Amino acid sequence: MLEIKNLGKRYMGKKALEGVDLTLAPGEFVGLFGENGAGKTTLMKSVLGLLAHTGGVLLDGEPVTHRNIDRLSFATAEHSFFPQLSPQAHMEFYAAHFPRFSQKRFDGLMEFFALPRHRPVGRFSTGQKNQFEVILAVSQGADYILMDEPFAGNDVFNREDFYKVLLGILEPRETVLLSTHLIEEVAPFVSRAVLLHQGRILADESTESLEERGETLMGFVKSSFGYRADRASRALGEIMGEDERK
Amino acid sequence: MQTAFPLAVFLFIFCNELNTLYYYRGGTRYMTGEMMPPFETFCDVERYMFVITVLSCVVLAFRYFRAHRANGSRSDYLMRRLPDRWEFVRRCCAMPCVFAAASVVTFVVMISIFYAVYMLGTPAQCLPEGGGGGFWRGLLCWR
Repeated sequence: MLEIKNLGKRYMGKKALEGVDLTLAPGEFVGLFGENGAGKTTLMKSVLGLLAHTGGVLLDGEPVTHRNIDRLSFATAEHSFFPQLSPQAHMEFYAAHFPRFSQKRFDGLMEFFALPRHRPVGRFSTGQKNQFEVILAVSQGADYILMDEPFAGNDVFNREDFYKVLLGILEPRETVLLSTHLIEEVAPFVSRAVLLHQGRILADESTESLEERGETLMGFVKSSFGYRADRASRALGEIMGEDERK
Repeated sequence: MQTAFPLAVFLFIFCNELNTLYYYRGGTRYMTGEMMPPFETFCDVERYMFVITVLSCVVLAFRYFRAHRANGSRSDYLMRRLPDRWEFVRRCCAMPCVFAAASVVTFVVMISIFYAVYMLGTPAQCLPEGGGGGFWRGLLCWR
């Protein structure tokens, strides 16, 4: 169980996260949604200890330290690989440093994405880099896989196929926390939706309960954020009205 | 940086000081009665080069750290998540430490060479009192 308790983070006095309480159980596939600047990336980095923060993060009751950090993995849109190394070299590095690194999963996903093994990752396309970042996170052998907008820039076919492969290979003990703006795309795959707004958790619902209410994930997100359907038409009306007056 | 240039400066200053110990009349060399300055006064350039080299090693360690944030990737995120918490420090500091250690050895060797030249090249009667102590003063940066 990954427990986040009263997590807070400020940047130069400005609040980025405040009072975030969240618990992730083994086997969950959690979608983390929120507007730009909501605090999704800050939340993930704080959980991993990459940012100083207030509050606590516990992994099965223990604080996250170097003793249990290998139970968390991270795929970030900023990328965390070594650009000058090849995938083969990365595989050797991960195998040397992460005791539960899965060679089988790494090989399978490399083949699925058809990535070259001996070219420096820095010379990959943006889409290939994203794919490789995710391969490393999923192959590390972690129990909690944190993915921060991992497929920004990848084509829809690769993304959809990847979600299916991911669900197929995940073991019952593995949990995914996926931050993305592609709500409708991940809706069939997530088991729970956590909405973050201005550094606070706005809503936290299982997709099962949404289905029972007859609500879609997108509908739930829109209603939670107070999205007004006529927002675009009103803005257009104002703009066009102003043009006509001129 | 710690060898050729400081050696050249040392020899230049030493030869200049050596010339002040003698004068020539009718083809004969006489002592002026001047004394050679203490050894540690000849060590300034080597001392400065040593300090600059060590500080450069600190800068180098910082450059290695920054390299993990360069080239469009944040590999420091990975390094900071490793179970071996000292791996990142080792990768950033290993070579700078090696260079710093080499710099210390070079400093000691150079001061020793300077001291040998100083003692062998200076007439005994022109050596300052406690000339032997000059080596440690030159080495330990103490005037």
